[in-house]
Amino acid sequence: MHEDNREQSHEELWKSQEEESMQMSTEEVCAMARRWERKNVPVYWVLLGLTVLFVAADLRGLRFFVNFPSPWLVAGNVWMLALCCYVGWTLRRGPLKMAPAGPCLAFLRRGYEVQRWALLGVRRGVVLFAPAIVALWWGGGPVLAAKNLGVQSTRVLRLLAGPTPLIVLAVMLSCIWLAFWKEGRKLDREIEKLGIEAR
Amino acid sequence: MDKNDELYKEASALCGAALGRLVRGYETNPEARRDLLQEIHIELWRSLRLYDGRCSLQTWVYRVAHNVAASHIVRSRRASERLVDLDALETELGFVDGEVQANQRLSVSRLLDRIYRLKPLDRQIILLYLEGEQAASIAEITGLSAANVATKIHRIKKLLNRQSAEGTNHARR
Repeated sequence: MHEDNREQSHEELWKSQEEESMQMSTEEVCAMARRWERKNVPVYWVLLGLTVLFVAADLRGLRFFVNFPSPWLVAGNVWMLALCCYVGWTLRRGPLKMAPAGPCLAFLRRGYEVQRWALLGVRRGVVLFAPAIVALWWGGGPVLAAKNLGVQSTRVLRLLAGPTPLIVLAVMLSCIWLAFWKEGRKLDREIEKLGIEAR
Repeated sequence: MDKNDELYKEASALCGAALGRLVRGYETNPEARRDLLQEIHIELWRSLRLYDGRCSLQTWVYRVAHNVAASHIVRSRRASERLVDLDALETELGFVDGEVQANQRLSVSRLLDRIYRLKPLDRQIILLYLEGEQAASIAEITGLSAANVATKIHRIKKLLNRQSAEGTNHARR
């Protein structure tokens, strides 16, 4: 009896608080939702345009490198171009999004899976970029790029010809890969916990 | 006015007050809370295009609201780890006038303080329970089994009662 009263009091207490009031009328919400839907269309086209620009810039770079005799530069650039196309294609398709009207458990799980999908994509991208970076360095890419930018200093050019740029990039990519791996593990644990809840 | 607008108005009239309380269980910042409520209403309007009547309109509204709110806390968790203390909640609840009102507001603060510490799924269950939803209905909204929901509700009740008792003892001292 006593416990029943307390249960009731929790519910009453909850309902007694002041509700957050909407600052807009229902008509305004409808109009805003329609505007929001229209706003998403230009974002899609801007993203697509940026991908096309990126590929065009890479094609221009490829034409520049083809004029050089080093096959490593050509191979590295072709690899980079293929990878950019792949990343662009994957991003265009995107993960399967779930409508928010599904059961909460499935929605939460899907949300974590989408985040994990993005993290996995970045990790895969980092690994796939590595051969292109090695090929470009092996073919003397950093020196050529520096000369093309007008760098004359022999000290800088010697530094770029050595293993330093490769080591710096390798350390940076490893850190990125590890950070994303750690985040991925956290998400895995969350997904596992939700799986246990579902049973 | 199209069919979607009409359905949205019906849903808003049916659950508007509950949604106003629900956002209090998800967001402490008043401005962010208003934004969250607005986001819920917009997502609700958009989702109603897919409403096929296979579940009740209330279940549909609760699902959308809790899913949007859960996404909100998952998104903002890393940006700012906000641990809400009683002082902050009391300030947020505004000027307290009179002892009875003060006690009630303090109790609401305590209740909210407990809710803010919960993970999204448990938070959804406690908020639905406080709205007076039955275990079967909560199971339909969350997608958990009815037995699991019943167990969780039992644990939530025990937790709330224990903390209430502790709060009363503390007040007497």
